[in-house]
Amino acid sequence: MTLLSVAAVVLGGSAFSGGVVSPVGAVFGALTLVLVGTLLSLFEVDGMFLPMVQGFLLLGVVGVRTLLVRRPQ
Amino acid sequence: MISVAELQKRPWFWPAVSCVVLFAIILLFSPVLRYSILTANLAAASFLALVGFGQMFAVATGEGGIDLSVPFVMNFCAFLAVQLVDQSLSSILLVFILGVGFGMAIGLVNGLVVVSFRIPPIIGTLAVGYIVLTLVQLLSAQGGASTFAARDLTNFVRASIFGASVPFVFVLVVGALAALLINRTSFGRSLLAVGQSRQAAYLSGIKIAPTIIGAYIISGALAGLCGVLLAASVGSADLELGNPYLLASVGAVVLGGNNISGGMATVGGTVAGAILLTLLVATVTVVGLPLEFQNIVRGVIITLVLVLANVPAHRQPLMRFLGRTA
Repeated sequence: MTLLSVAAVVLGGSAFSGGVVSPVGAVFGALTLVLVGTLLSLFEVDGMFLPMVQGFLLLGVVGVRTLLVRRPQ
Repeated sequence: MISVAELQKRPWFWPAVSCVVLFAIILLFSPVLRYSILTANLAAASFLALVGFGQMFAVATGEGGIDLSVPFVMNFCAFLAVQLVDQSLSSILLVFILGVGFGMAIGLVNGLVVVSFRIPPIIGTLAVGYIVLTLVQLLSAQGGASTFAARDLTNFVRASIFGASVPFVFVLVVGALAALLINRTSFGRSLLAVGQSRQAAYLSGIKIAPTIIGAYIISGALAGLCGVLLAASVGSADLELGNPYLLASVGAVVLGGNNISGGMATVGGTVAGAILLTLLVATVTVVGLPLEFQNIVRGVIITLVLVLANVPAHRQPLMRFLGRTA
């Protein structure tokens, strides 16, 4: 739970290096992480896959954002 | 002869002193066999030291370098050890190879995530860890057979070589290799340079990406090794076996005098940090503090060690006194 909270904050759009915070974003980040679970159970996917989906979601969102915001040198 | 003031500059000095003090306290308070307390704590600290070495490499890369996938890799390799091992010696070796190999593979993914996608390590390695968590659950549901380690594997890990437990022998061997790698190879020099300043390292022609990826591969490999050893030592695997090692491994690295912002790696310090964290648990239990005070005392001692280690010698009244007399 400690670490998932960090994930929610980052998913919600706060810059990891600090300086940019979005409290509302953190709420939506947390909602997203939880709703993924609901979505999975709707599709009748085993709950085991929840952490994996959350992991890929984090990588995808943060990865795309970093690529968009900071251009590779 | 090295003076006290000189000695105090070594990063492992304060954690080592704290270990001795804590052990003295344990001896004072415990009525039972003393030698066995030392060996039991050393054995418990061995696992922490092994993952601590790995974490040390990840932390040394700097700019928030950290490996949060450690416990998940450990859990996966623990199940691997339990479910794959047969009764013959070759398969024990195979389990170690597979465990370390899996750890290296996850380490490679971590490194690529951090370097290629430029995702902050704390979030990237955590995400990879969550993906491994699902793999662990799949593996544990798959097996069905038994969650107990084969007797051969358990006997091997619980055996002692010249009076030292097998995990402790692993610490000595891996520690010596890690020290060699850091101090005597170009990879080690590059790692410290990258951790101190990426800009400077880049300008002096160091290949940054392979260095960082290499550090995460080492971290993964040691987590895998530790997972196999832990499952064999405990005799079984479960879904939360490695979880305490997530923050404890970072704790051992920092308490050992390594800089959390990178560019430093002291093997001796990490061992001292691991032993210190393990002894702390033993001390507060042996002394018989009420449960609610144990965490407070632990927090106070950890803070004290960090303060002592980070304030320069000439600003400490006690050290000034000792330095004059020594």
